[in-house]
Amino acid sequence: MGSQTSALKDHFRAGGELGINHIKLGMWFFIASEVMFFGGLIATFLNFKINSPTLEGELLDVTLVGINTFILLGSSFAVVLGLDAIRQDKPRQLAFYLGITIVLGVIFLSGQVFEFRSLAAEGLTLTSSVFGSSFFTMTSFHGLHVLIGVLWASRNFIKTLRGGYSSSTSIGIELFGIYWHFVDIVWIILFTVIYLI
Amino acid sequence: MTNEEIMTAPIRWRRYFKWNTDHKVIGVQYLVTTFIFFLIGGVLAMMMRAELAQPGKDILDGAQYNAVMTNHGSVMIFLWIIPVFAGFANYFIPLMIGAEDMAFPNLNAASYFTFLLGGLVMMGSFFLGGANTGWTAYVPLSIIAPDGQTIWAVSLILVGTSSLMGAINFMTTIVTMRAPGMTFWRLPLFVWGMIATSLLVLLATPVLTTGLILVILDRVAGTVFFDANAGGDPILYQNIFWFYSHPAVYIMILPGMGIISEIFPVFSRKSIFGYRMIALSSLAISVLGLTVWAHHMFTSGLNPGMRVPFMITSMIIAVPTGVKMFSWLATIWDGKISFTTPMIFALGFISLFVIGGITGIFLAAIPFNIHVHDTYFIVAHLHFVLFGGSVSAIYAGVYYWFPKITGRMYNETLGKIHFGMNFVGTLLTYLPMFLAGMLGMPRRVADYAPEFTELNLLATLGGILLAFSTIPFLYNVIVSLAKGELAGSNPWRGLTLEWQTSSPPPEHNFESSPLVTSGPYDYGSAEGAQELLELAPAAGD
Amino acid sequence: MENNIASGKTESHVRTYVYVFLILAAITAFEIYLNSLTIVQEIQNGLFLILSLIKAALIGAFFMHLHTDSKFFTFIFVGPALLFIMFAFFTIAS
Repeated sequence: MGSQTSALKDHFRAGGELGINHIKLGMWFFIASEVMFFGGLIATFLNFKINSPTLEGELLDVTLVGINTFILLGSSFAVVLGLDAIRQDKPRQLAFYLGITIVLGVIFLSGQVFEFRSLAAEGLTLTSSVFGSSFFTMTSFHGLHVLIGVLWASRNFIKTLRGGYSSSTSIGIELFGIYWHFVDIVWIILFTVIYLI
Repeated sequence: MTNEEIMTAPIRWRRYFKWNTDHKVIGVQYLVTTFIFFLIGGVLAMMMRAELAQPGKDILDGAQYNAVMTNHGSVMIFLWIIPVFAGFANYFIPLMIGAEDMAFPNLNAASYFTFLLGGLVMMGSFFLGGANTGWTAYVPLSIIAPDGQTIWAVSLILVGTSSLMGAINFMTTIVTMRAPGMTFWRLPLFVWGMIATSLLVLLATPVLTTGLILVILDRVAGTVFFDANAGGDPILYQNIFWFYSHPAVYIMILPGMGIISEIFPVFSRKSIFGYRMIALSSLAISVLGLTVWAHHMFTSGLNPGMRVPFMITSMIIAVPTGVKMFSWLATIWDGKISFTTPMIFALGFISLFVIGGITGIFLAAIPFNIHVHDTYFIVAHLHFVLFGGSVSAIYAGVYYWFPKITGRMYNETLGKIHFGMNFVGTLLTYLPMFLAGMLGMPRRVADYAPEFTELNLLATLGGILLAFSTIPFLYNVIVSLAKGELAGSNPWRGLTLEWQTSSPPPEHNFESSPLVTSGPYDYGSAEGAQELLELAPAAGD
Repeated sequence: MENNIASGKTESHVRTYVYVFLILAAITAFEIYLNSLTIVQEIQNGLFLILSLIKAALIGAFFMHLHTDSKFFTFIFVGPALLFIMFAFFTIAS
């Protein structure tokens, strides 16, 4: 087994020469496909918004969602501080920041549920109009990504408490970070496209 | 184990039915599973040809015919041609770049089983009132189709996810796991083909997933994306669908072109002509291929100002394709050609694909497109590309690499019989369809006007020939697997890395990590000749 | 598997991250303020697009470490984004 693992190690030499870690590369390719997935949804939303404009957008509460945007930005900030901490071999700080990320992620999701319920009370639902269909589909898929991110963060949180990360094995945190920041960027675009424009 | 022992060791069957992370096992799983789906798709095709042999209702009623037609298209595209290349890529990318395995072996196994699940779900959908909208599943028809349509859409999402996992894995493997000395400009052209293909899969498949999710939501959750009564937009679906499904044509042909580029230099004993241009033309096709989708929608009521740009981009694709064609011809020009089965399949590929490719340029022209839209001309064109092109390339690849995968030689005579039946069958089936289409026979209808009877009878006879052509192939595979003569590590005297290890390769592919010092097709050059001297004599040489 | 690019201790970048976060928060606050104003719609929308692209770029460059990592990663991320813009443009125009 020993020789086999050492053989596997220099197996990614070509990537190392290019300064490319294979796990991170795989993650970025995945992100590329996610860009196109959300791209399809955003194009759908914009198609209706531009070609058949309605006044339903007026129902949206920009202040509430603005707060939610701050919350998601804050969670991204926490993740990047956590990565910085574990690179200094400070796992307890990492656990603290991951905890903050989880809490902020849950608050964001709660805010979204609250928003959905108040919109439904005003008659805007998934089936009420093309605006409703595309709005709820797009924001729900983003929410689903946040939910997956919260679960992933929880798993990393537990692993951190068990001493699973150190400065030389921080790749798991970095991968989660890439995913989480991507979800944040998607939200920034959605915030602009849905609520501001 | 020494090479001799590997070659004569009994095949360990069980691992092919389990979760196994060896890329060679996964490759064989893909190849065998997809071939079974190919046979299923072929049975569906024969049911259609039987119905169409004579005008009038014979064995299927209209609704059954629509379901058979839809599933024939979906099975052939999503469960045969796209994944069979994933099978070749799984088996040969690590071998060709000198790696031990794929970058993410577990993801690789997951991708196969997701594909298998998707395939079984699609088979299952057939029994729930099968999808009957054609493989394009245009709205609003696909919103009101029977329940099977929902399951069908789910199966496509599964299969698409599987090919995404594969694409991530292939790209990562090629970038990070090349053996020392294997620079990008020394990659075999099949690997270049897979780079271009994986790019398309990565960028286009997620958009199809979006579209299918919207269809499913419209069907089960009551959303109104495509409900024109509520302001929905059916053209939107066509944009989303063709943004994936036009690139899908290149996903289905670029790896095949890669296989052809492997075969020509080996059996002409010449270096490939224009190596870099062939590699770059693959990339050019995939980048351009993402910008042409609306040429499928010229009659859809598209904004007329948008048609001309899409006509122009579509026609430009002929340039990189032509680069490949002429490079292949220049490769065999003056070569020392040996007409083995893979070589004649590759030559067959050229002559059949050129018909499909050139009619593609016809179809890009707006006036001609409007004239033949939704006629059998389209059917003939796409079958010349996908059957004459892709399937010929797949058969060429199967014969070319059969000795490597199994360690045994196939029977050359049976292979040539197979080629003859396949080639004649392809021409006999699809050429009459061009004529029928030009004369105005609409596609996707179970019945037709009596004046098309002769042409349809010819096509049905050709279809029967194609069906029978799989018999010598299967017989050849089974008999050769059991009793074929041992192939040795390099029966064709290929210079690419997969031939520099035993057949079948040992578990970690190479006894020692290979060091690459020359290009993949350097026949005749100083370094290449040096390498050739060290190889064992070829079978039948 | 060992990560040979990001292994071992590195110096802390907390200060940079704080600055980036403050800029992001400030832009977001400005956007919400801008939304409450009534100025020419086209100018407002243009500003929103530019500001959100700046925010996305800041997160990509600093939080996702694209400015120090291999340029290939940036290419993988930005390429699909451009493709999406083309797709959205033609889809809406059709």
